[in-house]
Amino acid sequence: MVVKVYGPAYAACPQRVLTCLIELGVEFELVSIDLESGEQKSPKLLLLQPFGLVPAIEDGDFRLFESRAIIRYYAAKYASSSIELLGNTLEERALTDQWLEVEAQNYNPLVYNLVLQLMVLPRSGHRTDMTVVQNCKTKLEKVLDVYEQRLSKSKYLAGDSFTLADLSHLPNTRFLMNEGGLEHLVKERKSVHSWWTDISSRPAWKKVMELNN
Amino acid sequence: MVENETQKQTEQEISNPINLSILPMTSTVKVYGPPNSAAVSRVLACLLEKDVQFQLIPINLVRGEQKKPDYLKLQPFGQVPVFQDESITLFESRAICRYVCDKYANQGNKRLFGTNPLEKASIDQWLEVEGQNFYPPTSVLVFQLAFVPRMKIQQDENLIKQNEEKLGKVLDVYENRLGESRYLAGDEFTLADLSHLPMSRYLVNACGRGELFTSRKNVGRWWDEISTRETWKKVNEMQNSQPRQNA
Repeated sequence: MVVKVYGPAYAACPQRVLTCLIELGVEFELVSIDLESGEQKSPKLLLLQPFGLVPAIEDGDFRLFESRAIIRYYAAKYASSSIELLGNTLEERALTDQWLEVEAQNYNPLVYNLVLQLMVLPRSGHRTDMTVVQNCKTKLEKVLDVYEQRLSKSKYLAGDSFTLADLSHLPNTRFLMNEGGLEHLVKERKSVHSWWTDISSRPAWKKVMELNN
Repeated sequence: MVENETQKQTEQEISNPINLSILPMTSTVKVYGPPNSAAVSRVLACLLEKDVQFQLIPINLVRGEQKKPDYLKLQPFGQVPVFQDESITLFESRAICRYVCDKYANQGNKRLFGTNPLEKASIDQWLEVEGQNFYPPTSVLVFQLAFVPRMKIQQDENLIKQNEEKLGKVLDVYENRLGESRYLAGDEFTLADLSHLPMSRYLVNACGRGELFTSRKNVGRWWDEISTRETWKKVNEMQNSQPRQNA
């Protein structure tokens, strides 16, 4: 029985889950949800994800939502000698978790607001609030300065190996580099730039980009 | 176990480390930050649940100690808390809690982070809900209602209204969930519930928004149970024994 992933391939949070499953070689079926028509708020989907958000997964009788909880579960379940997305020791796991939380608490909220202001609101006929945009950019620069410092000493965020902490950054960073028109934030930082080039050329991420197209 | 400080706190003592373990010299676990900070208190609650001795090293946020070079070496974003033991220096309160639960799996509250992968997944799910759905509107409300008045700037009425609505919708989902199970992740108190304690305390005590919880039958019952846990009461004692930080 394959894992069902509910959510469109173009949305950041489902992309996080899809990338992880492909990295782990876990078979899945993507059930696309039409966000624009509000399908995520339909009674059937609210049973899977009561906050009306995507993604959610169904694995036989087991159900889970929140992309970062889903990737933690599968990374632990399918950890092997060939792929260890969580770190090998207790301490490595803790560092992976730390940077996953940094992404969730310090990085994601800023990029999310930029997506809202620069893409979502204009599409529905609302005005972009440039003060919010500038505010987010300024804060993001400071966050990326810390990343630059970290990645100048460490190949990946949690250490020498690619982990969930790096993976979690893929969807939002892709936005910055493309529709966000903010690639200079990445390109101006040498270590952040090489890190982005490295993680975004992984086959699993490339497959998710293909799904998106 | 943690002993209460019985000596009077003077401004002098605030700048010295507070030893709250029975055998201060044997505790290698250090937590940096003021106990009033939500993120710091999250970690303290977890350490108490797991019976882990620790030393609390105060950081004066008003004086900007968290932005000083020595502290930035520990936490490069200039935030509290930082956790240190003999093997690691760690930041991000929810990551610290998960580490403490894994490292000390066999002591204290053994069900705090589940005993099998499925339980852990459910706890992680509701921990993420706390971090992604509960925390954002709550932190705006707490800032606007508890901190902005002290800063003598204008409250943003729109922002308050918007975030009260957002939080209300989130709590409606909690109401349903807590009608199905005693706690968020299942029938046991876990990290997922614990993680809600700090900001909820601010909401209820400092913002006068307790009725967001009490107007919902199951949420009200849940809040009553989790906020009266012995370990949370101990954290509250630590918080109450600290005079407000001054510059």
